[in-house]
Amino acid sequence: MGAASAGLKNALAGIIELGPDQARSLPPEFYSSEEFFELEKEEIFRKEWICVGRVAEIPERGDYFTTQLLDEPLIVARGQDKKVRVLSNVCRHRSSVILEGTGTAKHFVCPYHAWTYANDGQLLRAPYMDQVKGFDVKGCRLPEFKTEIWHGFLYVNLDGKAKPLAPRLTGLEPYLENRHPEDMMVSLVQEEIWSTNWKCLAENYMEGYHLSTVHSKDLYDITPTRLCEKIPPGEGYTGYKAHYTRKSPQRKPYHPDMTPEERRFSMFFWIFPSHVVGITSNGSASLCLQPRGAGELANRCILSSYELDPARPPEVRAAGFNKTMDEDRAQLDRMRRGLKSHYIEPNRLGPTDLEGTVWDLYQYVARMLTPEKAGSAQLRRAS
Amino acid sequence: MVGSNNVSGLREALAELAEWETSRAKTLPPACYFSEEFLELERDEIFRKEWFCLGRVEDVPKRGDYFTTELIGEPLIVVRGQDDKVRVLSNVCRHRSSVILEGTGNSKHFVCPYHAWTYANDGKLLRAPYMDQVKGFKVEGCRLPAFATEIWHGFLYVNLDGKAKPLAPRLKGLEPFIENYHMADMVNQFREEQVWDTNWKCLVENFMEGYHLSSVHHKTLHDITPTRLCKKFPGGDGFTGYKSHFPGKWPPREPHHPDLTDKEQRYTMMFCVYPSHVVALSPEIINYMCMWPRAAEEVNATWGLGTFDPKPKRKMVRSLHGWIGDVMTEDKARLESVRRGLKSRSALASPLAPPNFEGTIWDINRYLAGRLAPKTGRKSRLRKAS
Repeated sequence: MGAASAGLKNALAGIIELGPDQARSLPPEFYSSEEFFELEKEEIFRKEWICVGRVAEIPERGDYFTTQLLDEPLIVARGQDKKVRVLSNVCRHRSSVILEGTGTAKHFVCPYHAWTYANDGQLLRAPYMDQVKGFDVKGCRLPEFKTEIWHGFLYVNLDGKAKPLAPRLTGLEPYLENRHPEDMMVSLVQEEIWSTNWKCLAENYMEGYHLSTVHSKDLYDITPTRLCEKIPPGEGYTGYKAHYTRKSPQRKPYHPDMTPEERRFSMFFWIFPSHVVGITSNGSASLCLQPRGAGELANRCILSSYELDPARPPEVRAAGFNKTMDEDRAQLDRMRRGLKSHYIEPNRLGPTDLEGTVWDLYQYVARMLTPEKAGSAQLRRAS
Repeated sequence: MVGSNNVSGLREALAELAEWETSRAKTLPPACYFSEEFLELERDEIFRKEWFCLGRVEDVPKRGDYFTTELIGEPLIVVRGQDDKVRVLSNVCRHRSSVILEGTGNSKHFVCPYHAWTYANDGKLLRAPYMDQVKGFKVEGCRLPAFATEIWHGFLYVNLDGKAKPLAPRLKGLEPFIENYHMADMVNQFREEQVWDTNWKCLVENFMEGYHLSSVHHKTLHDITPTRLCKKFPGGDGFTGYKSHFPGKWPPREPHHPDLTDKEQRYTMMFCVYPSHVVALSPEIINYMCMWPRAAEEVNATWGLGTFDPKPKRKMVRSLHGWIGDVMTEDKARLESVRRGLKSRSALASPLAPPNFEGTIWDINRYLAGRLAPKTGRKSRLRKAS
């Protein structure tokens, strides 16, 4: 391990025993070091459940979309047996990527030499390979990754060793059960490249401290900073409620199960490490963050709602959301430049209701990267 | 196969592969295509030591004609001197290491743009301003280094370390297949350099296997040279290749050399002079590419097209240029997919298609193993270890 990673691991080990009242920022290399990012790839992204999208994106047999996680090109497909699978999008012959974009197909044909796979990953046909002794078409298939579906969101685990996800998220259920995010229809899926560290975008999406400043024109009147209220975090998540101002009109249609109180706030939750979701009373915006480097990520964003107005095309429905995200993008660019400065000193984070989610992430990363330290801290707390 | 992605692991894997029967033909371990460290080894063991094709001698037909190029970071001048000899000179000034010439041209003298040191087109320094006042400096004792060259059927090869054995004897096995085409008589129509985002071996393999012709080039090549009609011929120490036959209904390709037999008129000779000079030799045209790596996932590719007809119609040349351009666009998209796929941890060294379709890749892999595997045999080292 290099110097940057060793220093950061020390810094992370040092915060594990601090309470939220002592929350403070981490050294800038936490966001800018390529070496530390390599560590995050191996210790977090290959080991964890990573959301890649919603199962509602592929409702019919044969529906698929492609995406990429770290260096792994993936196909997310619903097979003829209705089962949703995450398959390697890499041909078993000469390693070409097989599919691009989205579509519906019973068979996936590699464009290089026409090796043809069933949509469950089984190789069906490989031209002329019957002449190759010892090669068995039936014995060859696209590797399949472990998946879990939670409230309609599809998670994948690359190393296949992660414990089930749902038990880690039971603490979130009371906040979500009446909203039924799994019942929402997909309005729009858009994938964009952002020039920022994956944690910067996730933190920005998940803290209410900046709402009244960065979004003074579009969000301040609806969900101002002063009305943000954090919920207790769990091992694998955190979140907060962004309450609506009294004068903001009721967003409709909402789910009939929602209480009058629940209709008056948006629920923001963060499934660690890289899935962040905002659920308003009538829709949701889910970001699946796929880091490409310390300073770059692909943001797979899915907008959903209980009802889709056919008169409004998806781009129109997304316009308001994208305007807000443009404000964030400009802010994160200012942050990217600032983080390169040599004169940064760690400082306190905002109050728990406003920035405690960021502290929860720090604690999560510290647990993942310094497991020995995290284990002993837990023992001390228990005794 | 040894699973390690570091260079010694990859070299062990190559040593193992070299001992396999052709029936077990496989691709190289994926890291061979993206490891910068492995590329360092290839630069030293292959590109500095081998004969590398820079183009055709007729690219510099007249005295003083030159073009500049590069090979693994060495700036080069290819020039025909006043003595009519074609030389490959270092394009680096002996004074403060500036590159001297850019592009192409015709000149008796090469003047370095930095301090105006002036060289004859055979590399000899002629004039160096004020250097007569420097004690011990002799203009006559100074010249641009000239690299070893060999001309084979009109192609010009260079060898950087100057120690390579003559090329022609290594290619003897190829002669019976190509002599009737009289490649040296074909007339080059252009020479272009491109940069592709792929490992150099991916591009060589792609050019040299017929397995993808009917799928990737369904619109551009399938009708004329379909996969099913590809037939490999035996490779040698310095080459491999296959014949890409035309279907019976395809009209004669003319004009071609009168020496061509009836059979020879019905296929394109695809061959590779190791490491990276690949040629498609058809009855009426010759199309070639030469590749050297700029980085593990970036290759410099020079390509050219020659015709048997010494003065072909310009419209015909334009349409050939467009057709080959379309084929290369199709290949580029595929190689981009391969570049991404190879990085996946699920990528693997996997079985190659039958010899007629991908046997050339197996030959290339064994050539690479011969150059890059550890010099002592794996077995003897194992014995030592025990």
